[in-house]
Amino acid sequence: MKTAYWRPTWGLIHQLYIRTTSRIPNQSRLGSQTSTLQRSLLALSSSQQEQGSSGSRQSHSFSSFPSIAAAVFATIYMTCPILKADDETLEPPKYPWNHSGPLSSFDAAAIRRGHQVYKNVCASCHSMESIAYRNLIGVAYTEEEAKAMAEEEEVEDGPNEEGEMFTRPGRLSDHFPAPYPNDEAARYANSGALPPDLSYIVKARHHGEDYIFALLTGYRDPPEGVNIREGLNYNPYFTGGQIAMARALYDGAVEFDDGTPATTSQMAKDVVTFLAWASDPHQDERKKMGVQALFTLSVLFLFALYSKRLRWSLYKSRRIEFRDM
Amino acid sequence: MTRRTGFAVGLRETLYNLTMRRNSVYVTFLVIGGFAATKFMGAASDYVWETYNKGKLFKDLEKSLAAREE
Repeated sequence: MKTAYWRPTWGLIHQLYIRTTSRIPNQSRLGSQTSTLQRSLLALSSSQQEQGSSGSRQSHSFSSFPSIAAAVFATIYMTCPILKADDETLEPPKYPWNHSGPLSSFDAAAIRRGHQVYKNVCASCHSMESIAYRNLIGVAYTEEEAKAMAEEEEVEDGPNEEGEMFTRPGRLSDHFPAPYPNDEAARYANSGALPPDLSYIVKARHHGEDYIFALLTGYRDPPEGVNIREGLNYNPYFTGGQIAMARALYDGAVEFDDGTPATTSQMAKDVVTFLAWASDPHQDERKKMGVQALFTLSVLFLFALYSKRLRWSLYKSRRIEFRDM
Repeated sequence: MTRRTGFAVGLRETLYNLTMRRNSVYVTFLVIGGFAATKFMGAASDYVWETYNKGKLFKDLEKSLAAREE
């Protein structure tokens, strides 16, 4: 997200710290294996440099005022979202998504409900052209259900032998139907604004799931003095505060087939889970492989440690003598 | 005879005598062992994954769908 003002980053804090603390080369870290020759060389070099810029460093204590101030500021800045807010934009809070952990899978029931919300509420304006009906099999629907859903749609297919385009019922391999034939039609139907394709929206926005959820549930009256342009709606989580999309989720807008009560936040949570799956359908497999990889690598690491120690034992146990010739 | 020292000496000795005296035996051990290890690893990680994510996976959803049919 681009901001109009300059934001201090960690790199800057680090520079502040380095430039405000004094540096003394540390000799006490050397072990007993260094020879007198090496130690005398080091003493020579350290006497030549005062605030040395090369070689080993040991910084003075962290007690200089600028570095403390920088550290305190950085901590407060990172923990208080309100400080990072632009004039009009609010950063979304962190929600405890149950697919967030390194071992956590997506909730299949939530993906199913989320797809129902998408189909009934969002698909009238938002396309999702990268997802096909067959992608849903084994994730949220069985093959028969997915096939039935696909067949509900009429799909225009390529020229037949007579050279004419024809429509046919959908197949599993078809992608989700787009509500508008092209971007211009979409803009025309939405007073100039283009509803973005939702296939990768969770990856395409900062703070992904948190942002989308906050956006969907964040419609409210603008504060005093804030004037909203004609045709736009106030949403503090959208950059600039004025979004073309009107509030879409109301209680009871969708009836879920598993009987879950369809409150706004329930629908928002489920549709965001669906969108998160759509943006990253291989997340479950990747996490499983990640666990396997970490385990295998740690076992191999132990072998590597042993092997290294074995090879190095020759050098760790040798003795070097310097003789005056 | 040299004195073997370190940790798990007995285990290392038997492993060496069983698998590492001849290279042909060693290679066979690696191939079969690798296959068995990946199988075990797959089963173990599947078990961990399914236990940790009980109720969220598609197989649980399928079960509740079938129950709903009845």
